[in-house]
Amino acid sequence: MSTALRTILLVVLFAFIMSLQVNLDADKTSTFKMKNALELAVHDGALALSSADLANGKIVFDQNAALNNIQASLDTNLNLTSNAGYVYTPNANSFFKNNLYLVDLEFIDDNVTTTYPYIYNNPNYNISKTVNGPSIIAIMTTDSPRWFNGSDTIIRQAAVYEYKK
Amino acid sequence: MSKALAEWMTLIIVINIMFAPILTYIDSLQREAVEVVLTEGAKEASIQGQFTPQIIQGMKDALSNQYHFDASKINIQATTTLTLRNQYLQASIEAPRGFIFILDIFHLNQPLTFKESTKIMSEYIN
Repeated sequence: MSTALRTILLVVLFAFIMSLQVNLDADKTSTFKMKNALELAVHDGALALSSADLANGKIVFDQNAALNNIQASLDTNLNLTSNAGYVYTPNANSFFKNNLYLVDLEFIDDNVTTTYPYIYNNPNYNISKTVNGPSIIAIMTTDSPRWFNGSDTIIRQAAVYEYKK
Repeated sequence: MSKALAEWMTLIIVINIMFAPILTYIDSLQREAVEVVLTEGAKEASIQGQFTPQIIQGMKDALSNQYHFDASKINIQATTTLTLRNQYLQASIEAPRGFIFILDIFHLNQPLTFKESTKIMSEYIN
């Protein structure tokens, strides 16, 4: 009897450790997946330049086209669906289970400043970054897709893509 | 007899459970490695406008040398034609996956490979 009880205790303990680990692993995986995908998304977004301004030697982003590129990139690379580019709903077989939000998207280009390095500050998300040229900064957030019950963890990542001047 | 049988059965379950957390962790790290190598390869390919044989070989080498995947079992499919700026390059990596339970007593039908894919715009200007 005592052996059975010890065994049950051991199994319960390991089940607890395992569920804890799977949850933490979901947090970690969400973080790196979001970071990687966001880096590719801002890269694609940064390719949308206004050709008229480029002809005048200025790097100015075509913001609508950039947002479309970012949306297409995130939809594909994270297996999501978005209508306007700010709220992303995971598809059925996506790793993510909760909506993802592009909570901030900022364009620093030659319409904003012509002096670099430029210090970008975002007190809302506690971000400060020196950029050396026109840049796109995107911040994304979601609730971690935890497999087992546990306190919700908010995953938030930022990515910057800059042209060096 | 019944006691010995019960102890053996318990031992099998305990061994499985004991190693599951670390094996899950390794599985997760290997998946992350595949995705990181794919993303870095895609960034490099974007500059060159295609996944050149060197980039593909570099991704294979990184997975086999740094992350100890079996090179002969890594399958990389990627856009190898020169692609101009604002058009998409695609790539996917399929790599062999380890196991989570030492003894397959739960009969989990897990995929035997990781398959990660990505899409990135080309930066290449002719």
